[in-house]
Amino acid sequence: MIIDEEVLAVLTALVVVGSALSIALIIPRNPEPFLAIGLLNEKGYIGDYPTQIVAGEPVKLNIFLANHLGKAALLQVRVKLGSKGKIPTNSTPIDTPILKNITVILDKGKNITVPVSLRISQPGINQAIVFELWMLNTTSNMWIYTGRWNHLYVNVTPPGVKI
Amino acid sequence: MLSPDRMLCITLTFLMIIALTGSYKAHASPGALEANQTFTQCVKLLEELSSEGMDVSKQVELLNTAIRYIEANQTEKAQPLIVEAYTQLSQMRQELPSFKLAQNMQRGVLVSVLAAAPILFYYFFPRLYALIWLHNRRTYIVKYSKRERK
Repeated sequence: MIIDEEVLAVLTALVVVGSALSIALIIPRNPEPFLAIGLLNEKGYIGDYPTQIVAGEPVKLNIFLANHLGKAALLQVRVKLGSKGKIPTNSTPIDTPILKNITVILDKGKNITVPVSLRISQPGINQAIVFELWMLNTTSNMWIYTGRWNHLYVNVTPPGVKI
Repeated sequence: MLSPDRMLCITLTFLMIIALTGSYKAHASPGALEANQTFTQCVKLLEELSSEGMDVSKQVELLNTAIRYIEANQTEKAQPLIVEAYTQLSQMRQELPSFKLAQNMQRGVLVSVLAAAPILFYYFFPRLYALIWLHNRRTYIVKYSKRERK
């Protein structure tokens, strides 16, 4: 025989490992599904967020959403105004009025960055701009809070007051 | 001078117009998306089809455009898009069993080929190697040497 038995055995072992890995990659797996929401600044980066804003003037931010549920989903970001100590939890949203809604359908495994422009009319210190992520439950046909949220503390000054 | 009956009639008509306009606006608001039966059916189909691995990117785009129109209170522009997406999704839903069958068969064939690869390699590789080895040496001449015999 031209090839030694030992050499053939080693080569076959490599092929066995390669094919086993390939089979493991081909068989579909169900990783833990999750949704993600992120807050980005006006330029679309993390950090350098506005902290001092003027009442009535637009605040420009970006919202990042990612869908890893393993299926397409109708998502809604509800922008609300909270305060220090009054922000959502993993199970309950805050009960303040909705300032703005961002509704989008996100395909499986996709992400999107949505620009948001807000105007806060009430001056105040340590106001929290809250972004709650909601999802439409197609079985009950109702919006459900996903337990994911972001918030940004800002000091809102009345117009004409120098910071 | 208008009579009180006529005044009442005009007032009621005016109130009805306001009520109808009001309900139209409420329907057009993004919060009322779930009230649109066709739209929610579309989302249901999107969830089902995408979870099975079908490409629904075009329909997602159509529905996202429809949402933008609804947000801009342009329901008349949104509704044809929703209907179009629903038609496409319904057709895709009908094709789902055959899609799943084809996908499973493709996956099965691929797994079988990969599983058989080590056995095929062990059996055929030495033979193939020998053939190539011989082919590369086909011009070789074997010479008889007296000195080596000694």
